[in-house]
Amino acid sequence: MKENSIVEVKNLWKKYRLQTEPDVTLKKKVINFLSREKNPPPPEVWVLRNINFHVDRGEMLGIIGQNGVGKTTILKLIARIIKPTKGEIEISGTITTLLELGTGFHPELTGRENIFLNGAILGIRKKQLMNVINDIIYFSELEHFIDVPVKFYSSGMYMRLAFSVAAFVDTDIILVDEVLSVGDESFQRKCFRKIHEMKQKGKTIVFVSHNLNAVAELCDRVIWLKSGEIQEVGKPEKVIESYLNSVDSQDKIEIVRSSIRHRWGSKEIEIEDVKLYNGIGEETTTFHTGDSMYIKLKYIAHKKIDDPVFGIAIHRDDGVHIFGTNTKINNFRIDYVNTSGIIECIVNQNLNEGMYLLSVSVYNFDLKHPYDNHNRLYNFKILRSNQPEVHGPVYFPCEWRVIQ
Amino acid sequence: MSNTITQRIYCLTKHLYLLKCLTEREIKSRYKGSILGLFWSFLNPVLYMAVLTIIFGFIVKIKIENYPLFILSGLLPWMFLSTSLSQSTNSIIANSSLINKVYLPKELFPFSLVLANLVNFIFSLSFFFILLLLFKLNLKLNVIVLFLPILLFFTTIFCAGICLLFSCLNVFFRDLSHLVGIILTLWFYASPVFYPIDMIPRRYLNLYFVNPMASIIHCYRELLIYGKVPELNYVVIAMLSSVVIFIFGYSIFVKYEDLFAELI
Repeated sequence: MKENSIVEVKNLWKKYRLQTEPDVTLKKKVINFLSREKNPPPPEVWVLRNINFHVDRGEMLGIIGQNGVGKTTILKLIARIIKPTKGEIEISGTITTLLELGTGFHPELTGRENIFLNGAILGIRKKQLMNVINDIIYFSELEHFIDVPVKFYSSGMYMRLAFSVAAFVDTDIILVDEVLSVGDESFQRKCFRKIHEMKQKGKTIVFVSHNLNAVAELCDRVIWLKSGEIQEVGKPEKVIESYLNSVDSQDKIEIVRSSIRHRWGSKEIEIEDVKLYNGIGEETTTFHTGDSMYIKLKYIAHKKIDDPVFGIAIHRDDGVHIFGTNTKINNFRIDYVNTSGIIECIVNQNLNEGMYLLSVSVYNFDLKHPYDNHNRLYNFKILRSNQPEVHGPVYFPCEWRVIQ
Repeated sequence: MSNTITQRIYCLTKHLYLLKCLTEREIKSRYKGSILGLFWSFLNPVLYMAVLTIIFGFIVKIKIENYPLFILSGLLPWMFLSTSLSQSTNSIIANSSLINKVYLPKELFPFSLVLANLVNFIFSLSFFFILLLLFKLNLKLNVIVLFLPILLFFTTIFCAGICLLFSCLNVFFRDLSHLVGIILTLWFYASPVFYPIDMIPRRYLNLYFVNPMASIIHCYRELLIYGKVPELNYVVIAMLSSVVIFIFGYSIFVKYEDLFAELI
């Protein structure tokens, strides 16, 4: 095992039997025995083939891929719920699974009783649970309903309670399987913050999700799994990009759409208003290829922030990332912001005809911490100017010469 | 073999709190919303006893002193076993959502059911003592205090072994849960619940005691009704068979549990 890794997966293979119909009754066994008919063994599939990876201590690793490529199987293997067919997994630390929220709740028991039960299932000790029970209840925002049997809860309340218990687990490694797609927007934000907090406490997290933005935002490293094999490992943006490039366009729109989160950030600086202007100072959302675009960001800073970085990004409506830049890239240094103001970005765009989405953001200087990020919240339209045909997303003014 | 089981039991000690929670969940959810609450655990066997007394006391005319109490002394341990077994056969499948998502010692599920029924059993035993006092049977408290806990321990182990075995087999043979009802009915008549063991013809007695419940129930009866220390050979049979069944059930369970998550 490498010095720094907490989970090490070596040559992992996993085979499943595809059971067409449950062959698991005594009746069937007896009939088969009496009729001396040998049923052909059920077909087998390798869901995971030769998987090798490691997770470093304190790292957050994302696993992405389409449905049925074995993401959850990997988590189950790490959690020791199922055994590998071949290969081994070394783990040096305690593990919990943030289960699909609410498994293990008993409808007849009250919220409080279920906290204890669910806490025990997740391996929280009783003493520890007594210490954090009030925090859990507070976090779940269910103070008034905590002594009511959970069968009277709405599904949203159910999820909130479940996540709150899981959020207070204190193990070295936390396995998260697509649990963040629940609850309303504000509770989702809260869950994200909590995961962020866990990460800062030095917990190791393995995160399986279809929400690519969440993966990009939270993970340090991403594994892209394709039909049971690791296709690519690396920096989130890079892996996500190759993943998106590989799936066909219809799926892509779905993936992008389902994983869009519109706004996040810590809001020390807020972008209050975004407006687009053309070259003669009119506000508009329609431009021609080659027109300059004047993007005005109105911001308000709630305290003095040094070295903020404002940025923009342009996506085509099918999710392709066309362009992005920020004040740091363009060497435009803003020493600090204190109150409110307006920043303008002049984009000499050469986009071809189509619908486009605009994102704006403000980050701290090393671009690690978002103050406010408006993800694809604005759109604009590009019309053909004078070129008769368009090919591809952008137009470059070109000149042709005959040399010889 | 018994080595792995010692390890498993040691491992279980880390999950004692969860075991307690699961057991509480069983007990609480069973009696939540019913006015009589835990009293049901006694009312149930008493009603059953009434039926048996009418059939075998008045119609078949088995002549035994204090026949209702005689029946009850066998019925309580019997119902401990039968309820545990019929509930826990399905326990692995019923908890599939948990077993599929968290790593837990899976024997916790049948164990928690056995323990919940043990609590019921102890409750009903205490009601039973009140009845004994009302009928002024000569209770030998010192004998009972000394031997009842030992007897309870071995009965629990026996139940746990049987329940582990059935809950494990049920994953592979789903229709087993239907069979359990029939098995329990046969087993009931093969156990000395409403008749004393001296009614069994002598030459069949060895065969009869192949059923571990026969010696277990006999021990309870001697202790509770007659205030006697049971004969040594019955005690030995009861203890030995409990331990054997426990180890057997547990090792089968441990051997096949890795397959559970994939099959349920």
